[in-house]
Amino acid sequence: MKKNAVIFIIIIMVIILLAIAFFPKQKPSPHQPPETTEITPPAATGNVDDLVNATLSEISDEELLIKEEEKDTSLINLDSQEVSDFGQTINESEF
Amino acid sequence: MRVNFKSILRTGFLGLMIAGVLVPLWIFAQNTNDNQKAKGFCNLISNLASKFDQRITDRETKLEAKRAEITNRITERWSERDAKLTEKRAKWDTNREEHFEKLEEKAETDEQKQAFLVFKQAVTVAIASRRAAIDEAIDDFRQSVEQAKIDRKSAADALRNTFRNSIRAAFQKSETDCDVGVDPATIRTNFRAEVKAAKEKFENDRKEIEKLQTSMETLINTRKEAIKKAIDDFKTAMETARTEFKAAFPQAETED
Repeated sequence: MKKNAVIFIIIIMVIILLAIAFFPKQKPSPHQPPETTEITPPAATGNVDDLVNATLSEISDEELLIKEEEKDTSLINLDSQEVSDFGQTINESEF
Repeated sequence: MRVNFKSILRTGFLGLMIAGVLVPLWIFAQNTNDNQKAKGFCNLISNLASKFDQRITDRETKLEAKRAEITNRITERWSERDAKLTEKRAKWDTNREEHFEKLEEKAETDEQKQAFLVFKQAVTVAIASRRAAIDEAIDDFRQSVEQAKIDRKSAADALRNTFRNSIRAAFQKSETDCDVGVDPATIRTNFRAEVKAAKEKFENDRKEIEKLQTSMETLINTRKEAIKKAIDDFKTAMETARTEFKAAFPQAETED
């Protein structure tokens, strides 16, 4: 009886592990705007090089956001299916 | 386990016998159905044409809804990014003011104070120029995206209209042929051929519309170049400002 219970538990665990391994991972929706990471400005030191470097970090911080804009182009053809569906408005099997 | 070959052979033979009866019956039923459809084709046309028009209308509604959704998403993203960009710039402006204050504290002589002011002015102008150039690149890109949307809409609408008109013309021709007593089977055959041709043209033209997407790569590259130039110009301006500052304020280099 005890042996059967152990086998049963092992089988359940194997099923759970397989389910975790093969279950399709949730992909981020292409329609969701991607998250951007922030760059924290460095503390002021009174050193001219640090000031210049801070202005260069600002560029990187902006670029992260600006690059996201390129992904907007993928939204333009989201109506492909709807356009394609016009070709299915007449069905030869009906006549 | 013994394999009963006789039983297997018997079952197989029986299966073949049944198939031998059913398959010709099925083919006959198909042909009869086809013949009936051909004979009744003239009576069907009006109903088919109404169904077709209704489906076109339904799909137009769906397409318009999708287009509105696309526009909303793009507009929403742009607004969010504009707000984030403004927020980021304000954050860096505040930080830079702190850097300026610390740097100014170290200016003791009039010459040093003057050097600081010149430096501050140069940095402020360089940042304003870079931001203006980047804003312009963003605006240009967005206008191009809008234009791409308009072009796609025009092309898709033209595609739909051509397809719809071809099918309507085919219906009209069939109706006329029915009225003058052409054999319904011939009318149906011609109609099917016209529908097939219209569908093929639709598919080919639709593939061309999808190719419009490739032009977006050009837009992306143009924008990248504009932004790269803005950044390169900014870096050059900053290097000049730093060099001039250090020349006039050499101790600043070694103090920290």
